[in-house]
Amino acid sequence: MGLQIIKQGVLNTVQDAGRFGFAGWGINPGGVMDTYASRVANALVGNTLDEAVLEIHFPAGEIVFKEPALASITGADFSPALNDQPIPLWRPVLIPKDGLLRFSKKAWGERCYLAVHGGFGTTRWLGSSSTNLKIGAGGNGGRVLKANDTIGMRNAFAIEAADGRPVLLPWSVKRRTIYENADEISFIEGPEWDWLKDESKEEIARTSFVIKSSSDRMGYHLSPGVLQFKVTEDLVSTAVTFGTLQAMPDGNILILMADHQTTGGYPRIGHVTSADLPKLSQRGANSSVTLKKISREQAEKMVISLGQQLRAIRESCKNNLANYHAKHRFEL
Amino acid sequence: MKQYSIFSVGDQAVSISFGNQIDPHLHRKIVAMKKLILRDAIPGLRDVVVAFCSLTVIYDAFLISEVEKFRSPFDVVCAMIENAYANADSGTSQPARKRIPVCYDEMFAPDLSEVANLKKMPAEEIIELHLGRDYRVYMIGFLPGFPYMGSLDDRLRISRKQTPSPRVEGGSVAIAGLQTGIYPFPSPGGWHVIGNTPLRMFDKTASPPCMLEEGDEVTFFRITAEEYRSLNSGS
Repeated sequence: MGLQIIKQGVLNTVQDAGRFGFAGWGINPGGVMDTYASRVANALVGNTLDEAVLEIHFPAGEIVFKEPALASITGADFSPALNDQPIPLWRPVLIPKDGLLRFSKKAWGERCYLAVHGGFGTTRWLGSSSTNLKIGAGGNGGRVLKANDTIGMRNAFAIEAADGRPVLLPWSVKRRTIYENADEISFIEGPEWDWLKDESKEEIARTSFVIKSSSDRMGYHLSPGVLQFKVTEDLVSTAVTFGTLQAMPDGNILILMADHQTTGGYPRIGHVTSADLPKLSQRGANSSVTLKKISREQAEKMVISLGQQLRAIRESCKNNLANYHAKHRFEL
Repeated sequence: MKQYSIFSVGDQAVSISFGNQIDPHLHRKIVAMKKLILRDAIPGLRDVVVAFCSLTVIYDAFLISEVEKFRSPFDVVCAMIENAYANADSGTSQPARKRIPVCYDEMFAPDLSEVANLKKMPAEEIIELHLGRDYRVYMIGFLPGFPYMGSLDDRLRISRKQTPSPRVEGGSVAIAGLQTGIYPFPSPGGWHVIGNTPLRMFDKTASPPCMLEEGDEVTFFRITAEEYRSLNSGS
């Protein structure tokens, strides 16, 4: 029961908000790249924000629902369709039994998120369902979703839509300002920012960088290399985080992403603000980014306000779902 | 004068750094600080990462902001770290002692003769120097379960390979700078491999999954290829 993968996608994994607390063992947090999209996906179907979701890349493969589900898709727009009927993103959908989910075209973004009401039945490892492919643990037995894999749902429910058509529920999340100005990514100074030459700092501000094709969930390589240093010391390895801007020896910037290593010894010239990581996560190979420096205080305000926004989205979706339930009496 | 600096490493992490020094007494203090911070954990604390001469607290700024109305999450975490620095007693935690068998035979030590050449010493002397002292685990990083241990005898100091090897075997015991480490899995690597241990440094099914932890004291002892094989098949 649950979902079954009919056709394997290029990189589809189970992820939650991450496996925190084990960096001391060299185990990175992993988790979803776009925490905003995954959290909204969960909110839309009445889940807690950090429930496990499927993170889907394009080509996305095909998925069949072996039982009815209340589901939502957020993040990248891969033109999803259920039994050949297009379904919108950022909106909860009642999916009938045997509904076939396909994605036909990559219209925007890099990764989309599929959430189901009640969450998926996943393998937890060290307290998290996130898939760690290197270690082979968590999520779907520690590996990508392949054809014929089934993934359980903890909470199925009967619905009345008899004709095999999806039913759109009457609420959605429209306010997605965090993806605006798509190529402008804000960052704050890192500990080694002042090792850079002044010209180099200015160069960073006016360069339009390109995300190289070697970029993935571990890190985004930016080109061209514009970094020049007035200080060059050997650094003793220390902790790094999702969003750290590492200065590589060849003058390039490497932005550490969700699957980053836990420690690094390269100069940390900055850190992408947490509130802009979802936006960056939806930028893919060959797209451009500019880097805009802001203060730590601003960055902190942004991440707190994002947390408040998500909290409000969750509350309102929860109420909508309760009202809908009361009216239509489907089982929750 | 302050002996440390505290700074943000992103908008949801703060580090305290004690410079670029590698010192067992300082490290003992850092490990004690971590214990203290975890003991008094506040909502929103996500991780505490010990490195050679730094400690980093990773947190959820929104969760902290919900309980702390008058201070910024950054200020809250800075105060937490300052407090841990003031109160952590490095004498309280006795390091765990671990013994690790290593076979230094040629078949397990692809870079030993090269190291011997570079250091103008017989291979046997390299081995003796490597076995000649206990090491402290300063940090686990790079790969899950990879221990950064130090410090080597100064006569073994060697820079990393110019070009990393595309594949280093799991269990490889290697040296670089004044550090020695063990590759838990096959991986590309830039350190010089001088031996191999049959022990598994990382096992996802074990609890805890890592053989070593920061703060541990490690003694290497030498085994023959035959002993290696029997230990390897027995594990």
